[in-house]
Amino acid sequence: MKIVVRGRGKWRKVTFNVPDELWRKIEEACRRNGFRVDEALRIILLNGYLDKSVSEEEILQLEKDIEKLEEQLYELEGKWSPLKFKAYYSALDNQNLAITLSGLIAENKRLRKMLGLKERDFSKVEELIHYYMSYAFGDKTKKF
Amino acid sequence: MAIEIEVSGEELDKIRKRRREIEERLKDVEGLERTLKVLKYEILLEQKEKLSKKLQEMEAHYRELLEFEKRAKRDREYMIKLRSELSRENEILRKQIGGKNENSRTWKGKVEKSNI
Repeated sequence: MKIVVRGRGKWRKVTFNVPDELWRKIEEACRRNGFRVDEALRIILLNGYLDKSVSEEEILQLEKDIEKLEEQLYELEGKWSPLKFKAYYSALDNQNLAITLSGLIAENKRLRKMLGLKERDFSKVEELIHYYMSYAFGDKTKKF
Repeated sequence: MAIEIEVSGEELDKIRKRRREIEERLKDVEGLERTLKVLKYEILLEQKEKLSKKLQEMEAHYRELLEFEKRAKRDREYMIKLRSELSRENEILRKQIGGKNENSRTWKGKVEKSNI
């Protein structure tokens, strides 16, 4: 096998001749480890080899860990999507209730004023109305 | 048969200078295998870290959603109760203002006592 290395946009080149048997071994090493031959050639030509080493067991363990994590993610996604949908509609329901309550509170304050009655404490419900309305009108700082 | 690799001009100069070293490296298949294994390990490790991070984020978001659902349910019950209470109270107050209800004073007393 002939390896021709060309400079980008230049006519210059460097050629390496690799015996077929050796080339086959290089290809096999690439296949075993999931790399393309051109990626391996770049390592050989430009980066050089690493001194560290890892065992096959360590790689297998990592692959198992990844598979387990993917399974957990998949399972969680299955539960998460319907819950998100449900939460969205809960928020909508509460927004509608908040709108109705705003109107009733305003009316109550007006009527009590007209009758000279003491104003009721709406602080708790006003906080709730603000919470659900700020979501409705795009204040995304209130997360849920 | 030939395979072509394109590199930058600078890289080509380096390759020219290190030609002998590269030829030796080409013969060292064990070194290549060892290097590819290490690189594969590092790629897998990075992938594992990304997945762990994503899982942690999703778990946190899932817990938030669960918490929100509980809160929304609680708030809804409270708001529904208050809506009917206020509807009733406003109706009474309207009647008092209209002066049509003879027992308006009784109603007034009741309304004043009511609390949210």
